[in-house]
Amino acid sequence: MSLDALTEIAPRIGERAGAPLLAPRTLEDLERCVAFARDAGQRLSPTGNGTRLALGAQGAGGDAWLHTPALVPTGESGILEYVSGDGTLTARAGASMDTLRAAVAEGGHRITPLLPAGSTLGGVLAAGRSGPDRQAFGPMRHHVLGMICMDGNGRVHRSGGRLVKNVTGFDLHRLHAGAQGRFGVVLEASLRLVPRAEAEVLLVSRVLSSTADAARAALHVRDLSGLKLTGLVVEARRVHVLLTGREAQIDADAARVHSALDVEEECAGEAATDALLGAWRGDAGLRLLTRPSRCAKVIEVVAAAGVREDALSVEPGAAIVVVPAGEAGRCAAALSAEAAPRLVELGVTFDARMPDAPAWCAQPRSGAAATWTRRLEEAFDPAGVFAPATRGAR
Amino acid sequence: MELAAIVGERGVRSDALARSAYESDGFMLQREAPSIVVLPRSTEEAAAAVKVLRREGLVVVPRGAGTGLTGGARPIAGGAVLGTARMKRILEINPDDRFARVEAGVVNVHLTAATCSHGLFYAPDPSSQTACTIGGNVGNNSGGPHCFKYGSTNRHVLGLTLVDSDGEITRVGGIEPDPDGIDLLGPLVGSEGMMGLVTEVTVKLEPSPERVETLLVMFESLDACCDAVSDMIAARLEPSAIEILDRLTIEAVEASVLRAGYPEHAEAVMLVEVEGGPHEVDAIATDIIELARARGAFEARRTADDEERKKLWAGRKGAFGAMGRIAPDLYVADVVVPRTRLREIVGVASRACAARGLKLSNVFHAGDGNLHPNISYDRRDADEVARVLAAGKEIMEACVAFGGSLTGEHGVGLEKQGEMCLVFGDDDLAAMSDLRAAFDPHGFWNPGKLFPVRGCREIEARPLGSEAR
Repeated sequence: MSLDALTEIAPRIGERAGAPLLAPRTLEDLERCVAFARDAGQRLSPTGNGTRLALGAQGAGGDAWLHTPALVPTGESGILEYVSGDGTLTARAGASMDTLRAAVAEGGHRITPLLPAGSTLGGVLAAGRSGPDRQAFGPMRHHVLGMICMDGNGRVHRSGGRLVKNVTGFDLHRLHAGAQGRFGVVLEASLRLVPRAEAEVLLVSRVLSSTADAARAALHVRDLSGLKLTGLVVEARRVHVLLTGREAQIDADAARVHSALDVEEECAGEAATDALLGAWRGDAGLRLLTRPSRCAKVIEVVAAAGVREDALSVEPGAAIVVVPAGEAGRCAAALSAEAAPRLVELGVTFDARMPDAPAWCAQPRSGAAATWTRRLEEAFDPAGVFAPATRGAR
Repeated sequence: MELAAIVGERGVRSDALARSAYESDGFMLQREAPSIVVLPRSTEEAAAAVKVLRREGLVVVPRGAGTGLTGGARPIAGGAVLGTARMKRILEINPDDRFARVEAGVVNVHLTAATCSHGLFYAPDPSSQTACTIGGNVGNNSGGPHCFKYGSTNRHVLGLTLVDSDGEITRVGGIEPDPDGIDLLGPLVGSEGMMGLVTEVTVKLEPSPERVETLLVMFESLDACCDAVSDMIAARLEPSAIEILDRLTIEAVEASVLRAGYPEHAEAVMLVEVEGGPHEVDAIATDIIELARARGAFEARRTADDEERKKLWAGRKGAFGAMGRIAPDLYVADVVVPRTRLREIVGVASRACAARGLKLSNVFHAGDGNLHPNISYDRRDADEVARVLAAGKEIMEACVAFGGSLTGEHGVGLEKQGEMCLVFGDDDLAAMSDLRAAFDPHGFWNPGKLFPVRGCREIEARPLGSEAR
């Protein structure tokens, strides 16, 4: 009954993971959906193109999905402002990342994070997804300049702005980035762009004896004095090094990487970034967050528990070991007996971007941090309208 | 007595001299002596002191070195100041994992000095870095010249320890560069001491570049210098810092002990730092010089000589101090605009000051669009003070009209709270107020700052300091 009433406000355009997909076309429709859900005790899960389901979200945590791409007027890109001369982009949350990337590429820019195709701006921001270029540029949230969001009160609020440097007011957008829509729907966001490089090259090592050895080799490359890396990834026991910058410098840096690493493959030009993205499997699965110097040890513990080493995707500089989605279930089972406590001893924190994550992956906040989070939920969504997509034990 | 038992006799001051020393930060136009100054030596002492102060009904203003320029650390009448000046230990430097853990009272430049032997450095470098503290930098999300490349403080803080209004100690974040889930750390950085007292900070360290060069580029016109910067941004050049100093600033620096070697006949100089591998440095420097010459630079030279580079940067960072030669007081505005509009806002500032008979100098982070129009004045002259504030307001309003904002790195504090309504609406401010209340529902920390006291439909209509009473 309630769902029928909701579909009168926002048409049902399909189904996703067992829940109806509702498409509000205007801000007013969205506001009415939120108000209705608040009064009727319904729960809504904001969503972009649903690529996060491939990251392990099991389905809508609520009664229906709210499809934010529907808020981009038909035939429009969703770009509100691209200031090439200032290196900034402002777009609607439902805008396709692929469209945004193509638009800023024409102006000589690129967007970080570097991610596989198909996602929306709002989806990437809400999910807190970063790409293999975080070695150079850091996590996604560092590049969000400002946001406009609608919270569970139906209140549209803005923080930050469209400027590359700005400390006016509190950084609410940092709270929304990675919150999975818990405090509201992202409507609009501004990003700092990165200049496109004159030259790019991807260097891939031969297969090393173990993933731990590959991680050590990767850190050795990272520590070469003065070497600037854009991406540093271990996949299938091979070190992948992405260099971007001025042509002459890249040539010199590539020679240094060759001297430190047994490079088997090399790929230059724009294909280099695509090749890294094609190889990278760190976007989904069971993520083990550690520190760079402990990466190899963490890998050894995981391997000793019977997890196939070749399955691991590692970013040693960012201290992330990922068991990709396809392997994550088996890995979780393998780890649960003895290895998980050892990983905890090593200071590992878990991020289960996978279905059916085991209970030991959940590391709920406690003490004051739990109280702050509860107060934030009470302030921004007192009726509990927004239900993030479910994700394992979280 | 109870506080002295916690922080020691030297850590509690309520005599007139001490209270007077803490009556303002670098924003001298607003002063208020605190009832008491408490200087703990550790997180635990700070937490215990907070419990006592809270029980006694005092509100608290956190304070680092007091170098802030917007009144963020100005005491509240009848309240306490809780300072981190005695919390100066560098707790850990981890070169393998490229982070450092420090107490909040560590002076910014001391951290970089301690890390350079490892081939690492801490990137945010405010001009006051020889005095300002890491905790203060976290409070204001401070910047500095090299934030053009590396970003402001919030991109460098991995974790922190916070004492909240219940005196609870909480560690937020950690050492992981990209943690998952709700980011409580992000909103705390730049919260202007309104959500708790930061006592420890874990920061990311950057590897020292292989080569560094400084370019000194001279112009006969400040407008042309601004246009050259806009061109560089549009051309997507990537130096690590782009700064501009105008003629009055150059004269002040050259007449001071700093004597950086800036050409006194130039109307403006651009100071650019380029770093990276030698080929990269060479290519970027060549492009910058070419663009600058196309905009009329009459001289441009490169130096990799460490001594000369240090002198050039010492002049830049000491410029605010050097302006003491012009007048006894300096109003340092801090506004930000899109980098396509540098020339326009410099023009607005110039006219706003000229119309009021005020002496303006400019020294600013041009690469970030972050301007510092500096107005020299004498605070004993009430009429001049009024003209200074009016000019500052006009500059802020123009920035917002140009798509800019009120502050790029100094924060809102007391100085800009009235202008917050220019940028944010009632719902925006209410949401920010909710964010703050989640961390500090009692209004215990630094009340009466940042939010407009009047206007914006009376978002925060209570008088200063009344929230905790």
